[in-house]
Amino acid sequence: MLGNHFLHALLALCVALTQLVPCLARSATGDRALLVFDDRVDEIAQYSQLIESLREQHGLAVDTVELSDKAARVDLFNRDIRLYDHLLVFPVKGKHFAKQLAAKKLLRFTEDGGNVVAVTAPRVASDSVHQYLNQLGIYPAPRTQHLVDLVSGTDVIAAASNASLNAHVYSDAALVFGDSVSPALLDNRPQIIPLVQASKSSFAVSANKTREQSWTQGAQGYIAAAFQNNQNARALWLGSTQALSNANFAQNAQALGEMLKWTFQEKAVLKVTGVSHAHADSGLSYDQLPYKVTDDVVYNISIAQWDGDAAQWAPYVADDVQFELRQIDPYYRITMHALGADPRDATAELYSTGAFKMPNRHGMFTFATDYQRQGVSYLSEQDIKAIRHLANDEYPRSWEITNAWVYAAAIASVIASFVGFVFFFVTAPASLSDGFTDDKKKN
Amino acid sequence: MSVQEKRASAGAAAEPVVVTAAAAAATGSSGCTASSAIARALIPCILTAIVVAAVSSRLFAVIRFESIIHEFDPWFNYRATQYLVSHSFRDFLNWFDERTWYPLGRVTGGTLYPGLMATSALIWHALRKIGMPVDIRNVCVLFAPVFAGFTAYATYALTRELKDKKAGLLAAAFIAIVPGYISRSVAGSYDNEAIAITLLMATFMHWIKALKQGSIMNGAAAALCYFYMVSAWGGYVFITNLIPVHVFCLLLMGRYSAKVYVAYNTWFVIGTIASMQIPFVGFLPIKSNDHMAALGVFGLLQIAALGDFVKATIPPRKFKVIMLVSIALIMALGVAGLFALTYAGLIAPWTGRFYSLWDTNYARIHIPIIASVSEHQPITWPAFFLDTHFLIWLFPAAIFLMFQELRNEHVFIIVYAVLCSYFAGVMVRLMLTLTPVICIAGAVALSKLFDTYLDFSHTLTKDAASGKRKSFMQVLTRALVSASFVYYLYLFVHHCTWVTQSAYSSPSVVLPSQNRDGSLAIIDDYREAYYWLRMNTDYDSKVASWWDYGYQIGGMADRTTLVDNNTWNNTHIAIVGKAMASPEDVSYELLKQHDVDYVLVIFGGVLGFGGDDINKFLWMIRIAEGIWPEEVKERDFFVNQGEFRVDSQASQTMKDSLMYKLSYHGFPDLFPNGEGQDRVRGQVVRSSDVQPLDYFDEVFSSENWLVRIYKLKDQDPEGRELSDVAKFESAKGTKRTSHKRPQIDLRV
Repeated sequence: MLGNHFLHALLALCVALTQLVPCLARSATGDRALLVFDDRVDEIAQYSQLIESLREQHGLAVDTVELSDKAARVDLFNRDIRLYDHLLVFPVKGKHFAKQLAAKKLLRFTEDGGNVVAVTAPRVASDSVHQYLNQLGIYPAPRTQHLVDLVSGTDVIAAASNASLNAHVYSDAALVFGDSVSPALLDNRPQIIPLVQASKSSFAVSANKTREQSWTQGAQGYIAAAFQNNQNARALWLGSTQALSNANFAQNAQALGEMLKWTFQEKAVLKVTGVSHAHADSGLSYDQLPYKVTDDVVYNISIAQWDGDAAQWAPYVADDVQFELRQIDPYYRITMHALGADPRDATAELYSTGAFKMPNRHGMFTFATDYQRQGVSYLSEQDIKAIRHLANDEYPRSWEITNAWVYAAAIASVIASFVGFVFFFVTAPASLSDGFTDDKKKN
Repeated sequence: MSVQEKRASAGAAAEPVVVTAAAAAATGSSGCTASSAIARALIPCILTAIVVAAVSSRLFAVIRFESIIHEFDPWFNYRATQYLVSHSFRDFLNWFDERTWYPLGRVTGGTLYPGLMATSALIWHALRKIGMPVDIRNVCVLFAPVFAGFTAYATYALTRELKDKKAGLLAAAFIAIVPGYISRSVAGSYDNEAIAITLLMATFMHWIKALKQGSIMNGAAAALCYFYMVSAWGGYVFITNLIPVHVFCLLLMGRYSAKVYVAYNTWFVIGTIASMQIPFVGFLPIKSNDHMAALGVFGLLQIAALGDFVKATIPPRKFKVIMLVSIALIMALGVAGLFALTYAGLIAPWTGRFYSLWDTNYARIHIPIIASVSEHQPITWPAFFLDTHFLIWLFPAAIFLMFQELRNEHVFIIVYAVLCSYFAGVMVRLMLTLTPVICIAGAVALSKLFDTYLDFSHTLTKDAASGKRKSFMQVLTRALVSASFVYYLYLFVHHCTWVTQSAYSSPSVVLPSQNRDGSLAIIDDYREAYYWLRMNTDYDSKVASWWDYGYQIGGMADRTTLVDNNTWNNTHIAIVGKAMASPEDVSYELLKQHDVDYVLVIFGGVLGFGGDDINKFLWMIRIAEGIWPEEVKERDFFVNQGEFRVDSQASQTMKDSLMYKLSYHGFPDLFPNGEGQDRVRGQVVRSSDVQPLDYFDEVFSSENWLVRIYKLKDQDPEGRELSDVAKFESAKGTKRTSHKRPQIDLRV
C-alpha cells in the first residue's frame, strides 16, 4: 500500500513538472507556421518583435519567405499533404506573388484546416489576398483608398470603441493602428466575427484624383475581422500593418496576442468527447432497446475546451448548450445542464438534458447538438434514430380500461341469454310449444 | 394448351358426362355406366392438364429473362416477405420501416395486406420442413403461376354451380390462359392480385353454394375465404359490395327465403368480424362508406325476415299497409341516418379512388396523384379484345342465356357482369376482376351451344333404333357450327399464347431490345444502377427519386427513400415534385432539409425509352402545384404555344428546373457539335440549353444513360452559395480584383 502511495505521489510530481516547463506547442492543431512578406513594401526588421513573440509566446516554428525574389517559391502543400498549420501573409505585390499564392490555393489551405492571418494595407495591391478575403465575405478597400477621420483632428486612426466586439477572441484594449489603414466591408454571413469597427466619423478616401466612390463610410467599415469556417479553420484579417510593427507592438501586444492565439487555435477551441442517449428509466441504450413513442429518454454530451497555456484539454462550462430533437422541424429544444466533469473523462464537462418524453409521433428523429457560437469552435453532433410506434400488444388490454367493462358486460349478457334461451327452448315442456307448432302446421 | 371439346352422352340424363372429342367415337355407342365411369376418371385428368397449362403459360418470363421479381409493387411485397421469413410474425405485424418515407417512416406492418407474404412465408417454411430449402425469391417468383392453377379449379367449381361440369371445365380452361388474368399473374409478378383472384373465385363459389343449399357451413366457408381475401388485397371491397347487391336484387325480385337469410347472415357476421382482425382494415367495416351497403342489406334482411313472419300471421290486406308504411319509414330513416353520420364524420367520407370510379374526370381535376397512375386510366376498346379475345362477344350472349334461366346464382353473375363492365371501363386495372366473369359467362354460353350442336349421338343412335336417318342438313349444320367454334377455340389458344409471350411477360426491370442483326439484347440499366447504389454508397444514404422507383430502390439497392409506390402521403410526394420542378438552389435547400444524399432520375433520351422522368415531369409539377400553387406553376413550363418542349425553345422555367438539368446534364456532348438528339421527344437539345450544375455532382450514369444518379454537394465551409463557389472555381487564375464596391446586405 505504501509503495502504491509513493507511486501516486511520484506521478503527481511528474505531471506538475511537465506543467512548469513552458510548453512550446500550444496550438491545438500544430506549430508549423509560414510568414510571407515582401521587402519592397516593408522591411521585415520592422516586425521583429512580432516574429519573436510568435516564436516565444505562441511557440511556433516560423518559416519566412520573401517574395520580391522571383526565385522564391511558396509551397503550402506537398501533393495533398498540408505543410504548414498557420500562414501569415503581409502585404505583398507583384505578379509573382499572385502566382505563388493564388486565391484558390489560399482557400484550399483554409478548407484543409490551415489558419490564415492576412494583413492588408493601402497602396499595396495584393490581388490574390483580396480575392481570397472576398471569398470569406471580407471586402478590403482597393489599394487606392485609405481610412481618414477628419473629426478626430489627427492622422492616427482609432477604433470606434475600446470595448471588445467578441470576448472569446480578445478582451477590451486600446489598439493603435497608425495612419495608414485599409478598411473593409463585411457581409452578413455568420462565419465572420467583426473585431474592430471603424469610428462613426471615419470614411475611406481615394488617393487618386479620380472621383472614386468611397468604399466605406463611418461605422460601416471595419479595421479587423476574424473568420471561422464551418470546419473550424480560422482566419484573421487586419487592415493595418502599422499595428504590428515594432513601434506600436508594445501597446498592441496584449490584444493582438489574444487575436493571434485565437487564430492559431490556442484558445476557444472546443471538441465533443462523447455523445450518448439512453432510456431514462433503465439506462439501456438505443442499440439494446430501440425507443418507441412516449419513452423517457436522456441525452448527454461531453464538451472539452483546449487550454493553450496549459497545453491540455479542460472542461468547457457554459449555460447555453442546447439539445434539439427534430424531424425536419424541432420537436424539442432543451438547454442542457452542466453536471460537472464527465466521470469517464475528467477533461470534459458533462451536459445533460435530463429525462424528456419522446413525442407521440413515430418516425426518424435527429438527436442533435448544434452549438454555433461566434468566437468558439462550432460543434455539430447528429444522430438519426428511428422511433417506432406502439406494437399491437403494447396498448392497455380491454379489461384494464374501465370504460370497456360496459361493452364486455353487454357481450357476456347477450351470450349468456342466448345460451339460456336455447337451453330453455330445448328443455321446455312440450305443452308450451304445442300451440305454436300446431299453428304452423295449419298454415 | 389444348382446349377440350365436350359433349353429353345420350343416355346420361342424371349425370352430365364429359369426354374429349377423341374419346367420343369410342364411347359414343357404349352404355351410360361405362361413360360416366370414364367421365369420372377424365375430369381430374382434364383439370390437371388445365392446371399444367395455367402454370406453364406463365413461365415465359422466367424462360425469356430469368427468375426475377417484376415491375414495382412486387418489389415491396418481396422485401416484406424477406422481412417476414427473417423475423417473427409478431415483428412483421409491428414492423416500423424507417427506410422508406424518410423522415416519416412507414408503419408497414399496419398498412399492408399481409395475406400474400404470410402465404409465401408459409409455403417457404413448409418446403423447408419437408427437406426442400428453396430460396424465398423462387417461392415469390413462382407464387402467381401456382395460384393461377388454384384459380382454374375454383372457377371450375363456381361454374359447375351455374350450369354443369362441362361448362365448369370450359371456364377453368379459359381462365387458365386468358390474357386479362395472365397480365397480373406471370411468374415474377408477385403482387396481391396474384392470390386475390383465386380467393375471389373461391369466395363466390362458396357463396353460391351457401345460397343454393342455405348451408351455414358454406356460408362460413365463404366468410373465411372473404377473410383471406381481405388479408390479401384492398379489392376485397368489391366482394363486400357485390354480395349485398346480389341479395338486394333477390329481395327486390321477391325471392326472399330462409336460405338467403342464413347464407347472408352467416357470411356477413363472420366475414365482418374476421376482416376487422386485419390491422390495416381495423374499424373500416363499420365506419367507411364503402362497407355501408353490406351493413344496410344486413339490416334490410332482418326486416325482410320480420316481414316474412308477419305476413305468415296476419291477413294479406293488412300486411300491404304495414309493408308500405314501414318501407317508407325505413328508407327515410336510413337515408337521413347515413347523411347525419357522414356529416358528423363518424362514417369516413368516400375516398378519392371511389369518386373517380363514378366520374372519370374527377381524379384528373382534383387528385393528380391518383390520375397519374397509369393503371387508373380509362380502358381502351382494343384492350377488351386483347385481353379476352372471342370471349368478349360470347359474354353478352351468355348474359342473355342467364336471363332465360334466371336462378338465384344467375342473378349473381348478371350483377357481377354489369358492375364489373362499368368499372373496367373506368379503370384499366379493374379489367382484372371483369376477366373471370367473362370467362365464366363465355364458358356457359359455349357449353350451351355445344350441348346442342356437338351432340351427334342422335345421328348415330337413332339410326339403329328406328331405322330413320337424320337429315343430312341437320348433321351438316351441327358439324359447321361445331367446327367453327372449335376453330375459334383454337384461335383463342393461339391468341392467348401470343399475347402472353409478347405483351405480358416482360419484367420491366429488364428491358428487351433488339440488336441490329435482330438478336435479343437485354437492357439492364436499372439493375446496374441499383447495384451501383448498393455497393458504392453509405448504408444510411437517402435517395430522392420520383415515387415510381421507391420500391425498387428499397428492394434492389437497399437504400432509404423519400417516397415510394405506396402513395400514402401526397404532401411528401409533392416535396419531391417541387424539388424536381424548382431551380437548383431551391431544390438543394429542400433536399438538404430532408437529409438527401443522392438524387436518381430516369432518362430515356439516349435510348428512346418513353417512360422516363421528363415524360412524367408534368405530373410532378401538377402534384407540387397542388400544395404550393405560388411557387410551382404548370403554365410556366409550357412555351407560348402551349407546348411542352425540351429543346432551345423550352421555357426558361423548364430549363432552370432541376429535372431538366439532371436529365440533360452532359447529354449534348454525346453528339457531334453538341447537338443532342432526344430520341423520345424527337427534339434537339444543344449545349447552350443545358445550364451547368452547381449544386449537384454526377456520380453515376448507367450504360445507356437510362438511370442517372447525382450526389448533393456538401455545403460550402465558408458559407458561400454553391453557385458562387462554382463561379469562383471556374474563373481563370490570376484575374485582377474588380474595384467595384460589392453589393452586400446590410450587416446586422
